This record gives sequence, C-alpha cells and structure tokens, in this order.
Amino acid sequence: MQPNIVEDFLTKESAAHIHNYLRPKAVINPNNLLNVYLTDSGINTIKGDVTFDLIKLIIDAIAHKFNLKKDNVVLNRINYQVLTTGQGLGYHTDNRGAYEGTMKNAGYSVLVYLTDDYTGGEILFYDDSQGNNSTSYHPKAGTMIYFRGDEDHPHSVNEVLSGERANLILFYDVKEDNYEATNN
Amino acid sequence: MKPQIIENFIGKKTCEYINSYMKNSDLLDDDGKCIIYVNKDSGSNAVCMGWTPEIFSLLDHLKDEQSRDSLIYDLFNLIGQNMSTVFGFKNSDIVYETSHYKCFGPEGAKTEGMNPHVDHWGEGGTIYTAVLYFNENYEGGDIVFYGYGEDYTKVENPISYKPKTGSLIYFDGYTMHSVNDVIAGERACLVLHIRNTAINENNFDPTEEKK
Repeated sequence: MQPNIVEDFLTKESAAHIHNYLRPKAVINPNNLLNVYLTDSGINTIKGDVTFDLIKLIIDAIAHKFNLKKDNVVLNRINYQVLTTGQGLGYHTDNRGAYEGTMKNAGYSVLVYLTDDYTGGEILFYDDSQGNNSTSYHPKAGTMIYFRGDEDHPHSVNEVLSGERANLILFYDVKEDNYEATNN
Repeated sequence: MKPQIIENFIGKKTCEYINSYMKNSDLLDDDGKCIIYVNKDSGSNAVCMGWTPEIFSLLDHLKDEQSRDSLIYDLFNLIGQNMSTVFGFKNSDIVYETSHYKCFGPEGAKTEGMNPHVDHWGEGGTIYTAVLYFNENYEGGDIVFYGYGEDYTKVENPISYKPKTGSLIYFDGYTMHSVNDVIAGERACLVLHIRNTAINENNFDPTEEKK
C-alpha cells in the first residue's frame, strides 16, 4: 500500500539546519550506515542547539497527525540516517505490527526528508505484500511521509547514485485505535 | 483544571533565537505585539480583542517571503501543532484560534500588565490558553491565577508565578488571571488560544484535574 505524504512539513531551511547540524555527528552503525540515534537520552547529545527543540517539537507534531489520544501514541525510536553513494535499502517491511502480539494496532513509521540534492535513492512502496507494482518517490526536502509499519507496507530504497540522502526515521507504537490490517 | 507548567518546553538557545528574531524584525507594533496567527473564520475574536481588519497571519506572511528565515516559521508552526499534545486533546477536536508574540517593556512600549480577566470567548467550544515564556531577566511581570467562582469570576486566592525561560503555562479559558506590571527589563512570551469543540458550557468541568 502507498504511504501518506505531507509536503512542506518542514521548510527547506529547517530541514537544512537539522541536516547541517547532525551530519558531522553521524557515525557508521553495524549495518554500515551513517546514523545519529536520538531515542530517549540520545536526544540529549544535541542539547543546546535549536535542532534539539525542532526535533522535540517534530516528534509531538507528528504524533498528533495520527489523530489519536496522546497516551495511545508512544515514540518507540528516532534516528537520523544518511545514505551515501552506492547505498540503498532492500525490500522489507518495518514489521512492527505486533504491539502486544496482534496485527491490530500496527505502529506508524515516519520519514522526514532533510535533503533532496541527490540522484537515485528513490523510495518504492509496493501495492501488496508479494512485492508487486511499486510506486517510486523522490521526496523534496521538508516532506514527511508516514505509513503503518506492517506487512501491508513493504518498501525499498534504490541505490543512491550521487549525493547524500538524509532523513529522520521515527517509529511510533500505537496502543489503541480502529486500524485493522488486511493481512494477519 | 488548575494551571499547568511544563518547564524547559523549549531550550534557552531557541528562546534567544526567537526573541532576537522578533525584536530585530519590523514585525512588532508599538505595544511590542505581533499577531502570529489568526483563524480567519473567527470573526468575533477580532471584535473581542479590538483588532483592526488588517489582522494578518505572520505564518502565511513568512512563508511567502523567501527572504525571511523560515526556521522561525517552523518553530511557531510546530509549537502551535504541539498544543493538542500538550493539552491531551484529540487533534480533530481542536480549532486553532489565535496566537501572538508579546514583548512588554521594550523601548517605547507599554510595561503595564493586565487586569484580572478570563480568555474564553464565543461559542462552539471552550477556549484553552498556553503561554510560552522566552526570558526571565526582568522584574515584576508575574502571572497571577485566581480561584474559580460560580461564574468563574472570583478574584480570590491568588497564586502568582514568575515564569522561567522556555517554560509553558497552560490553562482553560475560564481561569481568571492577571499579569503584574513589568518594573524593569523586558518580558517576552507567545500566547496561543485553541478551542476544544468537544468541550462546551454543558460538559465543561472546572474541577477536572489534568491527568
């Protein structure tokens, strides 16, 4: 299934500000990808800059887009990630539907794009869980996309051909809502 | 609901950034005030606050003018979007009514505080107010809250707060409050009013504690 897309969630300037501040702090993780982990105490490593407040505000501003009561949406994880030339992500689902063991109440996955001056690196969403019929996106900086992190939303990222593709990745747990996944 | 305080809602550096941006801009009027956002459907509000027909939304203005620094746009916009989370309301129950930046006491501007008043106006839901404070290096300027009366207008049992930099105070629109005169220095804050359309006269409960 295709994601929800919110263009101009951030202005280009804010996206650039966050990227420029976090990029020098990124370190290579075990998957060989540049990351800054911002979950829980991780965010304290960037205390003092406007970026810290922007990210805190972004976390809650996104949570309210789901139109659920505050207590039913909990941030599970947030990180900043950079894909450089030659890097992509294979076909996968975020596979986080199993809040308390059911496909019901699948969590939300959220991507906030901070750069767009790269080639390749398109994100592909597939129409079904067999990986048929993909739609490709090259979001503008400042765009936010969100989708359920379940089996219904498989996706992949093409190899970056030039430049750097940076985004924020947020996973939210959802405790209670009316969403029913079609796959069980 | 008693007035609630969230300390360090935003950091000192962001406060300084917003303050210096606003003070160095040509956006403040003679009272040190700048309308950030007005719900254009909220006609009664404009009358209530004594605003002229030229009320404008700074957010729209900033977005249109590429020359301006859009970081300020996102900060104001995101702070506004956080109100449903702050109050614990469902986003679909909320209407954003108005917000303004106000600096008491810069050169030439007023230093007088505000007499006891309630913020609620109009129909179709209850007004809720949040105030975000950008500095604390001034004298006077405490915000004072009073007890509820039957008609929400009791001026007794005052409790006063000296807001800290970056702290957010929020309360329902039936809460009687005042602001003391600023004796020295400048006091800058952002005032936001939202309306919860799910809570009206019939089901508003002033004794309800914030969970």
